[in-house]
Amino acid sequence: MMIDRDELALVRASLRHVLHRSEAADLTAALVSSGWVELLVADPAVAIGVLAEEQGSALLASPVVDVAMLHAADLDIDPTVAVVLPPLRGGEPMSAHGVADGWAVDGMVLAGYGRADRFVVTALTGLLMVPAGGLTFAPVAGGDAGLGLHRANGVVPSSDIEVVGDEAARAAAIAGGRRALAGELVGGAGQMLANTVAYVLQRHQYGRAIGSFQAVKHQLADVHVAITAARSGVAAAWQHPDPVTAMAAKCLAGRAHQLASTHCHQVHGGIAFTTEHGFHRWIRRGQLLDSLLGTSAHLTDEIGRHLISSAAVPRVPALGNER
Amino acid sequence: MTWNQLFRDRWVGSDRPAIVTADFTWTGDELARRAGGAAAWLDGLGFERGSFVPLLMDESAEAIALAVGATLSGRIPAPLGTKMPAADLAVALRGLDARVVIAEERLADLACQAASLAAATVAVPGALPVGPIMCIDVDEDSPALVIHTSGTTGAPKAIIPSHRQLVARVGVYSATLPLGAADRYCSASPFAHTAGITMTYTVLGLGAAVIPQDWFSIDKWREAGRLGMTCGLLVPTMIDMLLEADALADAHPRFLQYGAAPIHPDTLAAALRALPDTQFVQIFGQTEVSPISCLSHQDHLLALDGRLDLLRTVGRVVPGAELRVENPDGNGIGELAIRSPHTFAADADGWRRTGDFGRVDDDGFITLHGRTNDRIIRGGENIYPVEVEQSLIGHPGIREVAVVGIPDRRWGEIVKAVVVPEDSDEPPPIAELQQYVRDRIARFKIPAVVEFAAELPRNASGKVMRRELRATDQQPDPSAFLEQTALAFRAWLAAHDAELSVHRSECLGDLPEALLADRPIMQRLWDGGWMRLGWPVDVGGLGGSTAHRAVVMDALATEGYAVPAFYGPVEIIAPMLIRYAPHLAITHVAASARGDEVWCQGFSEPDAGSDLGSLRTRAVEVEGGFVITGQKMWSSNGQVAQWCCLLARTGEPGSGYRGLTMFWVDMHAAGVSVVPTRCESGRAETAEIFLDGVFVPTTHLIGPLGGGWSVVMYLLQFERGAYAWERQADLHGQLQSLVAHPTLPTNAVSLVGEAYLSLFALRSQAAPTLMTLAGGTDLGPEISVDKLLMSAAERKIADVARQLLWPALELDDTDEAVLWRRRWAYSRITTIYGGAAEVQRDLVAERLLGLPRVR
Repeated sequence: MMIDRDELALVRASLRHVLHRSEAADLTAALVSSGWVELLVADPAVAIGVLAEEQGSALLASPVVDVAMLHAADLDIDPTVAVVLPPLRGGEPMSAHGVADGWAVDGMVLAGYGRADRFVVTALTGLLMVPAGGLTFAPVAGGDAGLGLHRANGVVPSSDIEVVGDEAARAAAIAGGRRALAGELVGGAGQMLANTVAYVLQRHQYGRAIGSFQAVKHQLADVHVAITAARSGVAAAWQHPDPVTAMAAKCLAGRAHQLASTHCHQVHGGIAFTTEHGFHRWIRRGQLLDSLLGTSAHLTDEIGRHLISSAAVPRVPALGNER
Repeated sequence: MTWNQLFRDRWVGSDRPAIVTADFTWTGDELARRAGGAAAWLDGLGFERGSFVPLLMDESAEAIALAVGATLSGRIPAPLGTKMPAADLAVALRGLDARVVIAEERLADLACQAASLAAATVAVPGALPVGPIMCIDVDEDSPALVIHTSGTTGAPKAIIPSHRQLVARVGVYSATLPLGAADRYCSASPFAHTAGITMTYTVLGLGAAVIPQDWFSIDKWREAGRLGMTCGLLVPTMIDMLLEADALADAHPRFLQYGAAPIHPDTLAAALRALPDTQFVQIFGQTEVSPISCLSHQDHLLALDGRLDLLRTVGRVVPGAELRVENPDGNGIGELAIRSPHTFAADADGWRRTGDFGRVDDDGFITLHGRTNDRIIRGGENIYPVEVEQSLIGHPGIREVAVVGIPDRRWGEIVKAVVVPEDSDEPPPIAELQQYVRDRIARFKIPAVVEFAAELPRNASGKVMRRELRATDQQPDPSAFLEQTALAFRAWLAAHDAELSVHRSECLGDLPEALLADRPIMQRLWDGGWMRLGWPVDVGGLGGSTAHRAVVMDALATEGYAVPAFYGPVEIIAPMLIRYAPHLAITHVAASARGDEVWCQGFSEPDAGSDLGSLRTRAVEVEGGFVITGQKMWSSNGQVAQWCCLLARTGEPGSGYRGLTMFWVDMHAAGVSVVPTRCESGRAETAEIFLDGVFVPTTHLIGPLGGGWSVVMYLLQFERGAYAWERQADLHGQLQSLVAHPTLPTNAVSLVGEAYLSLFALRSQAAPTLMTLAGGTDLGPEISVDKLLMSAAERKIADVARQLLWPALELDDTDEAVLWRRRWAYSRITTIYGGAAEVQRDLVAERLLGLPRVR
C-alpha cells in the first residue's frame, strides 16, 4: 500500500496528537483506538516509522520497538506481550540462555514493563515466550530515566516456555527492532537540528545572527546531510527488509545522532551545557537508543564481517521501490 | 506418440480440406507441402533444430503453415501477441533467445521496435513456396510450441508444451468436443493465445479442417458461416455482440465452444433460441492446462429446464484428469489443483495449482470463486469477488459487474464494484445496490465503493483486467518493469560474455585510449537497445525513462563491468540538449550514446570556478551567429571531445548570471586550441580550451540568448543527481573487489563496514532522486545532499582501499596498485568538481535550513 505525501502528514499529525496526549501507561490503548493497529497491517513502514520518528523527536516512550520486533517476526501484536531486549553487552544478541533447569533470562525491557504479562526473549534457537511471573524487574535510571528502561532477570523452567519463532524469526525480530530504533534516532537528531537552527537564527553576536557565519552553517549543513541520509537509509531498510539493511540504517541513524549531538552542542555555546536548557535530554536519549540492539560502532564491524565472509556487497535498495 | 506423427497420419497425402479460406482451400497434402516450404525458408534464415521461431502474425493460412512447418521440422513456433507493446514483446523475445523474429508485413514496424530492444532482426515472409514435405521424428518430450500466457496481471509468461502433452490434449478434446474429418473449425481467439494456436493444433490433430481468422468481427463470423464452419469458438461477450447485431444465426455450427467467462442466463437463452440445433459447450481452462472442466450441452439444457445454478458453474472435470480442492475453508472453497497428462506446466509434485479458488459440489460441478490473486482480504476476512459479483448481477439495472479490492488504511482492503448499467443515462442508485445485496451476502462483503463504467476493461482474450479496475485508485508500480529490464539485460550480458568480458577491467591508459577501449561496448549496448532505453524516440531512443538506463548501468556494474567513460557525459549533457536544443539532440545524442562522439563541458575559467556567474569568455553577435573569444579550463575529456557545451557571456561585462548563453561548439572549428592538463591521477583528466574568435552559428545556441544560467542549472541537477547513481553503481563494484581480496588486514571488518555505510547512504539517497528525475520533475536544492554524499563515498572507498591494500598499493606497480592509486587521486577532485563541497554546504544551510545568506 502506498501512502501519499498528504496522507503521511495526516498520519504524522494524528500520531503526534496521540503521543502528546497520552500517559505512557495507556499509550498502547490510545494507539489501538487511533487506528494505528490497522495502519500497521496496511503499511508497517509508515506505522512504525512515523511513530518511532515522532516519539524520538518528542522524547516520549511507546511500545514501538517491541511492536516492530513482534511484527517483523510475524507474531500477533498483543498489548499484553512485550520483548526482553538483549543486555547492553558488546554485540550480545540473546536475552536468554539455556541453563540446567530452564532458561536464564537477562536483558532490558522498554515501555513494556508493567503492562505485559508475557515476554518474548531472544535465544540461540529462536524466539521464546516466557511468563512475566518468572522474571524480576529493576528500574534502570542511568543516563535517561524517561525511557522507562528496566532490567529483567530470572530463570524460567522449560515447562513454562513456549517456542514462538525459529532463528530466522529471531533475526527478523532484531532487524525490526533496529529499524524502529533507527527511526527514533533520526527523529531525535532531527529535533536537535531544528532546535539549533532556531537558536542560531535568534542568537546574535558581532551584530549578526550567528547562523550567518559560514563555520556555523557548514556544521549544521553536515548534520542535515547525515540526518537526510539516515532517513533515506531507514526508508530503504523498510523497502528491503533484511538484517544488513537494518544494521546499516541503525548505524547511519546512530552516527547522525552523534554528529548532531556534537555540532549542535557546539554552536549552542555554553547554554546547552546547562540543565536549565533541555538540549542534554536528546543527547542522553540518543546515547541510550544507540546502545540498544548493538551500537553503531559494533554494527559497523558486524556489517564488515558479513560482507567479507560472503564476499559480496549488497546493492540495495532496488530502483523504483521507494515511497 | 508425437504431434508430428499425428499430423503425418491425418494429413500427409490426404486430399481432404485442411485449411479453408474465402480465397482458397488447401488440402492436407498441400498444407504439408506449404509447411515444407516454410521449413526450407526457416533453414535459410539460420533457425536451428530445437530453436524458437517467434511469429508476430495474426492467424492466416500462411501463419499456420509457418507454425506447422516449424514444428514438423523440429523447431518450436512461438506466436506473439500482435497487440502487445514493443517493450513486452522484447521481453518475450529475449526470453526466447531469438535472433530473428518473423513478422507479417503489416506488423513490421512493431516487430522492428521490439527486435531492436531485444537485439534481434526481422524477417518478413513473402509468398511461401511449396516445398518437399518435411516431417521429422522428434522425442515425445521435446517442446512442440510456445504459448505466452495472456496475462491479466504482469508480463506474459512462456508456456512450452511437449509433443506428449499436446497429443494428450488432443485425446482429451476428442472426448469433450468430438470433432472429426467432416468438421470445419474457426476460433475467434487471437493466434498467439492458447485458444488460438493450441486449438488449431488440437483441431488438426483431430483431423478436422481449420478456417483461419485473424481477428474477430461480426462480418468474419458471417464469413466463417459461409465457409461451412461446423464448430466455432467465442467468448460470451462476442456472443452478446452477435446477438445484438442479430448475426449469431448467420452461421450454423454443430458445436459452439465458449470460455473465458461464465455466460449470463439471458444470453444463453437468446443464443439457444437463435441456434436451436447447435450444441453449446463451455470449456474452462488456462494456458497451462486446458480443458480443466467442461459444461456439456446436456448441462446447458438442464440449466434452461430450471437448473440455472449450473450456469454459474464451469461444469465437471474432464475425463482422465484428477481435480482436488487444496486447503478448503469452512465453505469448501480452496485453490483448485489438477493432475493430468495434458497439463503443460505442473509443479514438481505433478499437480498444477490453477490460481483459481473454487468449490466442487456433490455432483462434481465446479464453482469458481475468483483468482487467488484477486481475493480481497478486508480486516482479515476473505472475500471472493465472484460471490459479490453474482449477488449483484441479478439486479435488473446491471448489465455487467466486476468487483475488486482497493487499498484502505483502516481495513487493509475494501470492496469496490465497477458496474456497467443497463441504462447508462439512468444507473441504479448506489444505495439501492448496496441494499440489494444486503440480504444475499454477509455485511462485510457489501461493496463500500460503487463506480459506473460504460464497459469493463478486457484483455485480448476477453478476460476482465481487474488490475486496471484497481488501478484507478493506485499508482502503477514503476519498479515492475525496471526489475524485468535488469533481469533481461543480465541475461543478454551473460549471452554475450565471451565478446564483452574484456570490458570488465578498466583501461589503465590515458583518456583517449580509455575512451577508445570503451567504444565497442557502448556500441553493443546501443545496438542491443539497452542504451536506447529512456531516450525519446526522436533522438533514436526507445522511450521509457532514465530509470531504465539506470538499472541497466547498475546491472552492468553488478556483473563486474567497469562503467564506460562515455556514460557520464551523455547522462549529464544529453538531457539538456533534448530540452533546450532538440534540433541538435536529434543527431548528437545517439552519436555519443553509441560511442561515436565525445562531448565535454566548457564552464569553469581561471577566474570563475565555483563562482560561475563571474565568467568572462565573450560571445559577440555577428551575422548568422556569434564569435567567441576566451579561455575555459577543467574540461573533462576536453582533449578528445568533438563537441563542447560552452557557457559564454553575451551580456555586458558584469551582467552576472543574467548575461550568459549556452553554445554547442565544434572543437575542430577554426580558433579552438586545446591543452591537456596532467593530473596527479597519472592521466590528463581535463584540458584547457582556448577560443580565439571562434564562429558558432545561431543554430548552435542551446536555449535562448541570455538564458544560459537556467540551462546550466538544468544540467547541474543531472551532474549532481543522475551522475550520483552512476557513481554508486561503480563504487559498489570497487568495494566488491576489495571484500573479495584474498589477503585483508585484521582491522578490515571495521573499514569495510565504514565503506559500506557510505555506499548504503549514497544509494538510499540517490535511488529516490533518480526516480524523481525519471518522472520528469526538476530537482530542488535537495540535490546538494546527494552531491555531498557522493563525494564522501568516493573518498571513503579510496581511503579504505589504501588501508586495506597497504603496503602493496604504495609500493607495487601491478595493475591493481596502479588503478587504486589513480582512483585515490581522482577521489580528491570529487569534492571540487560540479560545485565545490563548500558551495554545496552553503546551499544546504541557506536553501534547506533557511540560514541567512551573507556574501
